[in-house]
Amino acid sequence: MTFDVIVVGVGGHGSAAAYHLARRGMKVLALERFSIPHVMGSSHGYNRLLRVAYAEGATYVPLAQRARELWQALSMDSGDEVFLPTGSLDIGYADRLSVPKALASCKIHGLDHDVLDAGALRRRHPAWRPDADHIALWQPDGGLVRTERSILAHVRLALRHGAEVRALEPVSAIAAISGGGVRVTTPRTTYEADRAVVTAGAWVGKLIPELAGVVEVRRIPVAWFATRAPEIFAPDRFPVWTLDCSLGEFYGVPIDGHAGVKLGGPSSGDQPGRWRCDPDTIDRTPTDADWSPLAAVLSRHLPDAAGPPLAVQSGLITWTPDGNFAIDQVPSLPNVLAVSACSGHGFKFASLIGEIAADLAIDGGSRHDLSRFRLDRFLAAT
Amino acid sequence: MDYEVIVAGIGGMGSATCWQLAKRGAKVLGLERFDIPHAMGSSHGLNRIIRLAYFEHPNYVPLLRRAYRLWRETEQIAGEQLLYVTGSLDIGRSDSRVVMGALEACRQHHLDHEMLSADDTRQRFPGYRLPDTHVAVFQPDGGFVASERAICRHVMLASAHGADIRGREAIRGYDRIADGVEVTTDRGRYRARRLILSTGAWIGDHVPALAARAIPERQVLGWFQPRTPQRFSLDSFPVSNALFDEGHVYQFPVWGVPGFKIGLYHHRNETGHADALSRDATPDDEDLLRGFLARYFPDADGPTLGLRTCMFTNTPDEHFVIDALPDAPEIIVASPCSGHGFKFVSVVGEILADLALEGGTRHDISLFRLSRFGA
Repeated sequence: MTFDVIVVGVGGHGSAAAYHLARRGMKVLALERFSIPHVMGSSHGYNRLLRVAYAEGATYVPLAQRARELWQALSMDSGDEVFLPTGSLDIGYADRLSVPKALASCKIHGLDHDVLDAGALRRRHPAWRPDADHIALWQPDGGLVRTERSILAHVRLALRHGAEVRALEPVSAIAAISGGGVRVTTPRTTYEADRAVVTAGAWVGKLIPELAGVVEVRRIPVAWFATRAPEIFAPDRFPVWTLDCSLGEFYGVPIDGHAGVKLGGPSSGDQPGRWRCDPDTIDRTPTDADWSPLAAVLSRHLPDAAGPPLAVQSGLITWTPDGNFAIDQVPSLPNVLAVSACSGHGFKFASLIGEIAADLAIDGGSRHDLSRFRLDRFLAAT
Repeated sequence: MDYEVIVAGIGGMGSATCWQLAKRGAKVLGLERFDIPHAMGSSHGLNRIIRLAYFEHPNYVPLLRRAYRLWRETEQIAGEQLLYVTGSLDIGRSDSRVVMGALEACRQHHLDHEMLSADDTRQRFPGYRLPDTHVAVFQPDGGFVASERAICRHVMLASAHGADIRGREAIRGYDRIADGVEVTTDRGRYRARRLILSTGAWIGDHVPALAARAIPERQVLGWFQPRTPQRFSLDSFPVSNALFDEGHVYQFPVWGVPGFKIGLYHHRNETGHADALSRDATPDDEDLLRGFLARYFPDADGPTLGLRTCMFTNTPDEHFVIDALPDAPEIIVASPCSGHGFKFVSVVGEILADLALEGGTRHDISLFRLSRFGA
């Protein structure tokens, strides 16, 4: 069977790529090793934060702005509200990393924002009990992206544009065909296409030789906690947030999709190797050590949701050495694009990354600045 | 006493029970061994059928009427739709227990219904392709309940009304004490006046008398992409159960995910302990469901979107168990459901709250007594 483009992996990025490719007239096959959606990778757990005041680097701001536009367009086109605007709060200290960096992103890109002291934070968002020396950066463009629902919205629209989407069909090999094109092998059959887009997330290192041994897959926990005061954790009163505090760096969202208040952390960026795992052999069962730091954060800073958890879930992140993504033509596999390795902060960009994947597959280039996502940065380092 | 009532097992039944108890002001502890919600038991997979023309026994109909009212009440309070009406079809040969039973329920309880021939069914609901030997009882109130959403809403409402609900805490055992029960978990001990066991497929671990009479069975749900999606939409495809010569299947319109959903009662007759049944779905499972698509729902026979396993917990007569233990009346059992319980969880929550707080209920639960199994 022959296609224009085969998309390998139908999570956040793959579903968006399948949609943008199909919408632009490509004959698309999208293959997923599990069910659609599933809880084995990096796209489950109901929602992810979308922050525009980007502490990870001001160059991400235009990407976040375009992603936000595309999520809103997806909500319109699919009839499902996949993006929920809530604004964002970055809570931290005036002299420590996260807030000053997010503030710099606001200033460089002229984003609306407001800096609140601890008292103002408590008054405006009564769930919070910040430390006396905490400050909070409020930015109104933040919100949450509904993960599983956005995957399904992209898949529904991709199907409407004629894509073929096959679940429970794992890709075992991707090979270049001499003279052009790619061959994709599954247990069921072999497919051929002009190009392949590999959006395999935690499995990308097993399919793209350049990324094997470069990306590190880590298991990260999130948990949901019951509250007796759901109204103060509702999306209209409790914006998506990040928190730098004496317990570490954490993040969370208002009540959405689940019965409880969700949060995750502490961030593992500074602890290479600690959470390393293999996506095929990892035990995803959470432990008490996964949620006890989260319970401690709630006791101290969000006491109306303190207590034991309702649910604890493991997700996978696929980390690159510099924490930036890997979106590029694969040197060893002509006509194959790597579109993965989001280093734990990619889902918010999935709508845009789908558009970029289509740009690269169809036009061979993109108007977006992808220089920090190139694969040769890893090759140079080794 | 630490609590008035402890509810063990926060799936459909347990979550509704916590909500009903908290609403009445009782001090409640809810304990769930997995996450809330989770995918290890009998309450996951997006939705469950609700139908009034109840072929299993006409005595379920008054409970269903109350269940509908309580679903609507919870929706109102929660501000979210949980029950979707599509109409229901009960399909089989005209002398089958499904068709005869559905008609009997309609007659006894004066339910609106229509008899449709195979051809009528195809004309009116073109997603269905019935053999000429089969007929369908259409009942307009049938539909489905959003199962995980219902659990989330029950837990949210119960928590807001003061219930203490904890995931990832498994009960290890319980002891009778003066005026109540002491429950031991892997994290602590709690005392309460009443204990409700709604542990589904694990009920045999907690109630020895049910170990041989509540048998967990592996089920598989499949979602398949329709080739003609408009024939499987909410307004064109009623939920149904259909007794074909090859097996008894149940199916749903496309909702939530872009797939037609189908399951086969007693899928491959795989029974065992709830911890031992495989949660992996295999190509054999997929093929078994696909056989029904090809014959009876040919327009739904597109690529697979997903497969999930869940469990039934079957009694010998396939009726529920909702009763206090004869030798320990402060302990109330609300499982197993024999694969047809979720639609009732709203009313079962009310019944269990009645039993725990009042010692009795106005609802007729005589079908569900433990004593029917003998000593």
